[in-house]
Amino acid sequence: MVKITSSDNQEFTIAKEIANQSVLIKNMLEDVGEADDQPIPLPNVSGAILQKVIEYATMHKDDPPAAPEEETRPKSSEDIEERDKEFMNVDQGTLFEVILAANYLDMKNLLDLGCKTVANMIKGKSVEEIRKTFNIVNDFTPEEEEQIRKENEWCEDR
Amino acid sequence: MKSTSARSSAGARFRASTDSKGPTTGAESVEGAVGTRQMDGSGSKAATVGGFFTDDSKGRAGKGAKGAKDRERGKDRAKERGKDKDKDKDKDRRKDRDGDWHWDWDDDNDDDEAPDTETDVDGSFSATDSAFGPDEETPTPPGRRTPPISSSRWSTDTHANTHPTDTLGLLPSEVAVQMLACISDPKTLAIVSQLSRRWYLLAADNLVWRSLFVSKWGVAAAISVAKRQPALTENLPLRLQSPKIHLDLPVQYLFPDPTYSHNYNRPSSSPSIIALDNNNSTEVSWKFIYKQRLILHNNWKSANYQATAFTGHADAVYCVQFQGNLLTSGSRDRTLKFWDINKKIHCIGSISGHDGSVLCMQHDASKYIVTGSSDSTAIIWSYTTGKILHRLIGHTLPVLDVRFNSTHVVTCSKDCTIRVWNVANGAFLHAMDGHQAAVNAIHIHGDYVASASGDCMVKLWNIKTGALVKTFLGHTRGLACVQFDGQKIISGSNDFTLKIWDVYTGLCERTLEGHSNLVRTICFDEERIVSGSYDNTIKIWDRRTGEILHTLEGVHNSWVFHVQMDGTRIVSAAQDKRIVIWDFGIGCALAKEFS
Repeated sequence: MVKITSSDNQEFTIAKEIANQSVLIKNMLEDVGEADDQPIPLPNVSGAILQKVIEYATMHKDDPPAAPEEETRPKSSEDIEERDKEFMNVDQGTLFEVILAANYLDMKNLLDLGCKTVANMIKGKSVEEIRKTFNIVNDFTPEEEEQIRKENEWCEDR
Repeated sequence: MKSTSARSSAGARFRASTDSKGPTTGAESVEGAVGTRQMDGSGSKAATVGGFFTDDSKGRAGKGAKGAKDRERGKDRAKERGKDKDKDKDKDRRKDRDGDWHWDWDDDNDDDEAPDTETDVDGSFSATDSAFGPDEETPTPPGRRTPPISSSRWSTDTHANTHPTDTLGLLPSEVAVQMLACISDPKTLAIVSQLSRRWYLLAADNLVWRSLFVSKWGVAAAISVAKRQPALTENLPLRLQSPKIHLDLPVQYLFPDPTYSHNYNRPSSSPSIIALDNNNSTEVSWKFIYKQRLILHNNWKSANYQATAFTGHADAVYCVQFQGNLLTSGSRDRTLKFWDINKKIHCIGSISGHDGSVLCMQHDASKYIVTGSSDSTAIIWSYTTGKILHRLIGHTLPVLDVRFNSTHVVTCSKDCTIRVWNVANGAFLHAMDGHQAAVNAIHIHGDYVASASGDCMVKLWNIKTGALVKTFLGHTRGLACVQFDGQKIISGSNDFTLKIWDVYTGLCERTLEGHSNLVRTICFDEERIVSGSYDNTIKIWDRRTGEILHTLEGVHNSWVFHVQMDGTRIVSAAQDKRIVIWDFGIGCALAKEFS
């Protein structure tokens, strides 16, 4: 078993194969050795998010290890497992926290899932809709907007 | 200042905060930020084909290693971010105590003469000062700030806490780029690029477009294009896609999170962000490549081509083969001619040795040319000298088709047999009997040869043993052409149809109807099938659906004897003595690279 603590000092005890899904933790464990009973501090992840991440890692603990060469298969935001879709059915704040945590903890599959989920939130929306959804401030001048539209024209004719 | 401060948007705040620091510190901050960035693999690529290939893989490996390093750095930074969080808490506490000084910095500036306020602020933050963003420091009057600013201070947390949440903006840029790479659709990327300046830059990232290219045209195509990178870098305006907008924003606005600045370098020579790219970079722009590939794709789709016809043979042209700028043709005039088809087409050589029409030919562009003739012989020529190496004598009637690989030459004849020869010494090895009529065409793949005969059958044979593997039945009249890719066989017949056969089941998967006369010649790739017919037309079929995409007519006014294609061109030869190049690469700057 492995002990980890969140930024708000919540302690979690999890199985090693679950902890090892985080390359960050895996490396740390390899560095400090097994005997060490000290909890691993994760100052970047809150307890609530860590809980969520552990849930994911538990759900995927029996997955075959990811293929090392990611280049060979193009990532598509369409292929998301049903259970993962459900897992990511959370409010935006949580979603982004989970992505940041996955990035920090170096959990490739979870990061991929997060990216795909956000990509799907963007797809099919207009510029204004996306700005609204994510509170993005339009900082272009009207001239620049026009210019970008022109630049992008070639994308449209397909 | 006042008017700016009145605006509450994130952009306005950042801009304002830099203004408040005055030009000197502003420049310092930029340099500091730039100094800590690392080039992301660009600028180190070799300029040779082979070099590039290895370099590319190295680059990827390097990226992996670098990625790890970045993650390390990321961790450090993450810790700092953690600190930032604490600091933000501090700040929040301070806010409680001091009211909303944080939003009131402009007044603070005006109250420059009130040092006590400022001391108070500075003092309260001194413990964690190194991790501060300039927006927190805005109370400082212009010119007061002296310590150099490190790039690691713009943390996402700060960003999030001080502005109405731009949730998407919370993503570190490396993650944002990864997210955009999941969007396999240029239209959506176009929309993303219109969101804001930051997203404009992110949506132009090379990684995003490479991923898009791969998802649309496959890894093999991407590698094949990348392999030709030297040509790209030497001859082409690579950065046609570089953003045209002059971004005069302070750096921290573009890179609100510190991770970004480490992963995405900007030209270190320019303190302000002008364009996304480094002009000295030899890295190819995948957005540009994608766009060119799309132009080509649309040309094929809408039959946007330029046909160039030329005549040089004194009689009908039976066979052609082209590769790059070199085209080889065999004719009823008994000669084999070589053409330079780059721009101004001209004949660069002619050889003869047959006492009859040159009916068929294949060369490997390095060692051998093999021809078959109505004089019932086949000849193995030296590709480099044009001298006859071996004359293959054995068929009793015209040799209608030849194919060869590194070890064997296979010939088929009107005498109903197929013969196998040693390519190196021209020795006859064995014959394959089985067809009941002239064997009009053969095609080999690996150890197997597919044959098409006037007896309406396609047969598959083992070249080495001479054994018959399978017979494909379905055509109702004699066959004129065949091509075999290891999985599928496509044949053309005098029943005016083409048939697609599955090699494993032996069954006809699809019959393509549309020609109004004998289908004399075919070729195919993953995307399309091209057929030439005695109805004087060439048809392009969709490989997946079997639909006719286009009919090329009105150029040849006689029987089409031979077609060959690559990614951008079809070349056809006909009884009218003409060879026609149908170029679908018009308007595509990378036509050569995609061929």
